[in-house]
Amino acid sequence: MRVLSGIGVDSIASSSNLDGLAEELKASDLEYSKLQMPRQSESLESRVHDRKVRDSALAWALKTSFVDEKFDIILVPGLRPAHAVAGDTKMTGKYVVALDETDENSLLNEKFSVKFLRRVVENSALIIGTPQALQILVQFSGTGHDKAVTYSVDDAYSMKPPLRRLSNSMAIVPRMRVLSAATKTVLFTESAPLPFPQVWPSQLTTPSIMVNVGSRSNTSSELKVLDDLRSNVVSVDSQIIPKYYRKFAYQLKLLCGDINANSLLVDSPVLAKYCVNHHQLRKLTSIFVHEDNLDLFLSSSPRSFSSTLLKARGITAANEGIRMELERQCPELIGRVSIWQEGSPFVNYGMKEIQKIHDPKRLLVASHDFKFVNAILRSMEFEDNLEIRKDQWPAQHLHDEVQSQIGSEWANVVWCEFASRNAVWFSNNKLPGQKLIVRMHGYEIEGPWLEGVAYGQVDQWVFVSALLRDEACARLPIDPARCVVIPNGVNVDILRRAKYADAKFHLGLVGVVPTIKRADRALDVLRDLRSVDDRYTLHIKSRFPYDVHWLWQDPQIRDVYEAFFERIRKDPLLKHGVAFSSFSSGMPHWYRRVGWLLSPSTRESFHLAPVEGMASGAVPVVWNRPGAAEVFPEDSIFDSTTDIVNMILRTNDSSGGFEEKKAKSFLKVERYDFTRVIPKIHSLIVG
Amino acid sequence: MLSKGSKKTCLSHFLGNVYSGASGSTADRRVAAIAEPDLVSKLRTEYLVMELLPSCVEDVLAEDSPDFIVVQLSMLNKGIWLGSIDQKQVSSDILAIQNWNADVPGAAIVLVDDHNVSEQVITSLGTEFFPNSYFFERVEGFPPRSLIYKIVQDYGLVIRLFKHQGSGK
Repeated sequence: MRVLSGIGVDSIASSSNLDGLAEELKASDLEYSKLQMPRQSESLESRVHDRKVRDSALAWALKTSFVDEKFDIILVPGLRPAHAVAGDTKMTGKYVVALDETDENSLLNEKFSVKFLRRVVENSALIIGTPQALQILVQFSGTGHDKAVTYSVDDAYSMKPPLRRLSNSMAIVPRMRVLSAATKTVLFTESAPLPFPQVWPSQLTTPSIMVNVGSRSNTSSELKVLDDLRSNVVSVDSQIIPKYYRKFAYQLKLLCGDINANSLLVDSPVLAKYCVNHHQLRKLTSIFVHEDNLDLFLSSSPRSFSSTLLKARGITAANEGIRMELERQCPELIGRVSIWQEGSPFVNYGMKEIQKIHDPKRLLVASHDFKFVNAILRSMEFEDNLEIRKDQWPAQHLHDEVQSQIGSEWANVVWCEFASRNAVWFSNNKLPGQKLIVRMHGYEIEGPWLEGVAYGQVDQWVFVSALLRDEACARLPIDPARCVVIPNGVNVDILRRAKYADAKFHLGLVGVVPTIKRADRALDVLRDLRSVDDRYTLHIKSRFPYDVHWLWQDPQIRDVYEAFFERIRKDPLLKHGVAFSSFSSGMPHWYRRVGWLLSPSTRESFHLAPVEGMASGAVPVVWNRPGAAEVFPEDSIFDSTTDIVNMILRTNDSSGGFEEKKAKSFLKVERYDFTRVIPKIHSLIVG
Repeated sequence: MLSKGSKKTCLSHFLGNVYSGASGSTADRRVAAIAEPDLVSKLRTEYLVMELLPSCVEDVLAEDSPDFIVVQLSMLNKGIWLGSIDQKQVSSDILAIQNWNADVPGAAIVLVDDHNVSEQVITSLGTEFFPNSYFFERVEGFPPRSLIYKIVQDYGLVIRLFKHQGSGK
């Protein structure tokens, strides 16, 4: 990427504070050029005292060079030049504003209209500056908090919003999560002297907190930091008694939340393990490996060693020797270990971010059915470095080839949702440099169309379960190295709602098509339950079989469904006990009525509905089948209808039995929460 | 083979959802009902009755419209209708009844035996409604309780009452 910078044009911009940024630009692998003022501007030089003229000249020169010399991005020093650049709508998103102390003073002492500031902010790609300048700009313009990147290390903490808990910190935009010299870091060292003296400015070297976790009197409040803390690095230097690791991890989490930390650097292997497995802390945790703790890391089992390090957000080695040793022990770490070096291990922050926003991933999702992927796409649509488009196929075998072609030419990543004929077309029409990901859900494995897939063109196969992956690899020419298992995800926050009273008498079944869904088994259960208590009701949410043309045309399959409906119609125990509902977006509301979510299928690669049901607070009831134990808790899998009926009756008869089962099921659903699943998908796309 | 474009009627058909009267009845007025079985039985002695089913209401009303609809509110919070009214939110089936009521004023009759349902929903379901709580009190704008009680006991009278008043279709 080519970057043109207006910084350092001696006669025009004297941005002493931003010299470091210019240096960083030079040192980065970006193609960096400093603006040379054109000859015809010499006359302007003599009028340099006229600020407006000076700023306009700079903006004009930057824009001209940007166009003529085909730069990808320009770095504009100062508000007024940025405003002048922003006036050209073609420059929207193509300039980065750099604000120094001069701009800070201007913002404090001069009057700018809100419109002026908004224009600068909204049209820019990124704003790098001193904390004070950024705070004022964001506050006055009312926008841009997601674009502001602190460059100076001075007093960043005072610019932070009021203290927030860690969960709030997680809501900040991804670019703010990147470590930088100005990032608020909690550093925990257990076995080594602080590495600061060599690498951090002296004011950051004083440990701010000392804790004794082993003491019973110690409370989390001891880990809280004084409001007037000025340091960007909070160091915690302590020997922890082993049995207190969990407690200490919890206290570190509170500390990170209290000071709004963006990163946590730990050097204790056991503590690292806790942190990288904690759903919130893992997003912050980097592991520091040095001479004193290397052996401790290596003494753990190879599996534990690699899984801990690979889960961490970052790994920093004290020197090259340690990095080589880590990579030798676990080759998957190659390319992921940084070296603790002079100036901080987190250099090139601004440049990495610039690179990200100007090398966005353009994701095309092609499918005839987006029901499993829609929620995931919604959660990623605001990612700064990701643009998403859909190629909607009217049916598995139908698509507008021109539209697919246009989409393919636009995209650098193609995601085929379902390994259907979309996978056939895109694998045979893959463009150079394009990444092709195919996600298989289950039924496709039987599809005759798979013969047409150009397997060598698929970069990544995603399976929703290990069972499906193993079956696919055994039956199809798929390279196992290109396979990854990512379960379907559920949005627990959305699904978890209060159940209606008496929900424990209501069974739910999602999907009766095709016949392997075995809706007849659900009727068996309902009939037996209603013979005891007529409050039991079955709610079925599904496409209707007669809406599926190919299925309804098959006389045998049609017979099955006609017999199914006839049974409901004629059996007095079933007649008033079954409610149908077609698919709609109101699933969270629908789940409120369901106490027991049935999964009677004879074959499922995953079966999302019972997992959604678990998230909603329903209890899953699964007929035993291959792979069921991979997805569902053991005590929710049954061999017979009788077992299921007895279990439901017994549970509902016992005091608090249903509530207890409900709570147990809910605990098991955490691993499918979007917060765990989506980052895996995201890293596949942008990685 | 069912015709294209009547898919939900198709479900209604498969579930045997048709108008029927008591044996020997010569009634020709049609009543669609969401009501307890005993009330449905009473209605059947006088009318052709179809018990409405979830997911079938909109198309039944559009393609095979009844003369009256009777909705017993307590039915909407249990069994197959559980969740069809959630405070002010209503399901598409209930919405269909509300729309039908707007087109045919006075022909939707609501028995208010569940006071958890918001008044807004009740009034939009039917302009004729009968609370039966506070049995011995008189509620302004409504018939005396004793009469309501009788109406509840013999719902056929309710239907006839509106028929004679000419407020029906």
